[in-house]
Amino acid sequence: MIRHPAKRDLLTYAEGLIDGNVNAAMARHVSGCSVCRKEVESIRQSFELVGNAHALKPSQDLSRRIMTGARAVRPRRNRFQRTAYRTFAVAKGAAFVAGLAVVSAVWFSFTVMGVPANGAGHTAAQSTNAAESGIRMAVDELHRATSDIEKLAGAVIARDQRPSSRREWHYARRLVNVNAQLSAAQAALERNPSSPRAIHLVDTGLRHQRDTLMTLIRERSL
Amino acid sequence: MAEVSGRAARIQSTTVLRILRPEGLPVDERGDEQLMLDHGDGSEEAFAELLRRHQAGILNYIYRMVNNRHIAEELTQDVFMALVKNAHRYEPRAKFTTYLYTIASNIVSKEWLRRKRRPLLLSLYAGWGRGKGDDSFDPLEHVGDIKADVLGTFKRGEISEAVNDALNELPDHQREAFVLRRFRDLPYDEIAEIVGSPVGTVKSRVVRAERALRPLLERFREYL
Ligand SMILES: [Zn+2]
Repeated sequence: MIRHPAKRDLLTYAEGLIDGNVNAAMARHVSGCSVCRKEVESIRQSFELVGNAHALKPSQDLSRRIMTGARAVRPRRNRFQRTAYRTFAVAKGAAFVAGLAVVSAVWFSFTVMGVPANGAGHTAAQSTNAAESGIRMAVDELHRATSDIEKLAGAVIARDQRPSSRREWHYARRLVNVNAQLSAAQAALERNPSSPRAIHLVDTGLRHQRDTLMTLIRERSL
Repeated sequence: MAEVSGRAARIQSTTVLRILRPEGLPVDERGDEQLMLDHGDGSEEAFAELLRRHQAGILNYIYRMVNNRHIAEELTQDVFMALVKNAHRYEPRAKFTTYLYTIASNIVSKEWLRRKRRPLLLSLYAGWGRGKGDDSFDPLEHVGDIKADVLGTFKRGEISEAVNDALNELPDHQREAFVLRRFRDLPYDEIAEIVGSPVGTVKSRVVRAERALRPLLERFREYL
């Protein structure tokens, strides 16, 4: 007599929640057993049934109510504040991007290569000391880069232009892509702060970001 | 090192995304996170686009959770108002949908708590939900649907009510996990983040809900 899997196990299988060997064994059984195959098909049909159940459409009135409510609630910055805020945010952002690129380059060379960027042949203890002083240097560098680029970006972007040429659109789009890659790398880094791969991704992402930004800023200031 | 990398990640999450905002991209080409940042800067069109993208999803999620169209609309409005009120504090740390459905999930939980404190109201709502009141399916409302055959529409409406009745029988947590998985099609890890439970727990809730629902939905199989 054939032993069929329990119905609850077939359900878990149909939902794709069984891993590895057990899943493979289950798949073998289901493909060779018409009773279980029918059961799995019927389970999948119920999923589909639920998924296809009629969905409500938001009424026009609901959208209007929400938009009206939003206008009443929104703490609106006035025009002057908004422009000032945006310029500041952009300048600050640019500074951090460049600063972080510096920091991450230094810290990348320490963590991944195990030696400071400008030296070789240290013992482990010396490396640690060098790493610490390297980070202090990097932080100083970050401060310097921050104030320099704040001035630069503040001057260039204060006009708050939109991308106007095809090239500028191209750069804007590239920024969006680099940004998406960076967020992914950042998420990986938060999960595992010492992962060389994540650090490398952030490092590369920041460099691309800085290059693209610099090009964008240069083109707009010309 | 870990401290530096942690700090770098923090700095980055709060500022880097801000600078990269390509203000000139048309709203429908901007990502959700981008739109939310623009909205925080006072852009009404960014908010309108977020509303356009997500209000149907939120409305239907809440509808499956509270089983009443009017209450679902009220709560949908609450979700988007919460979005407006918190826009200036928003930081794109997680996916925007996770953020949005977490707000919705909290608002639904409050609604459940309110109902449990007032059992009299609960029975009243339940009565509305059984198709006699405002939620009964009106095919005229759906003439413009893509698959606009009236019979099919009736059947889908009927199935929809049967699904809601069946959902009513589930414990709250199973119901929520099931609705986010089956109706909103969210991945398990995102659901886990939204409801604040481990992924394994969410998976077993979904499977339990499916086990409980199957016999109740069996009679509608012929419509497939
Ligand atoms: Zn079998």
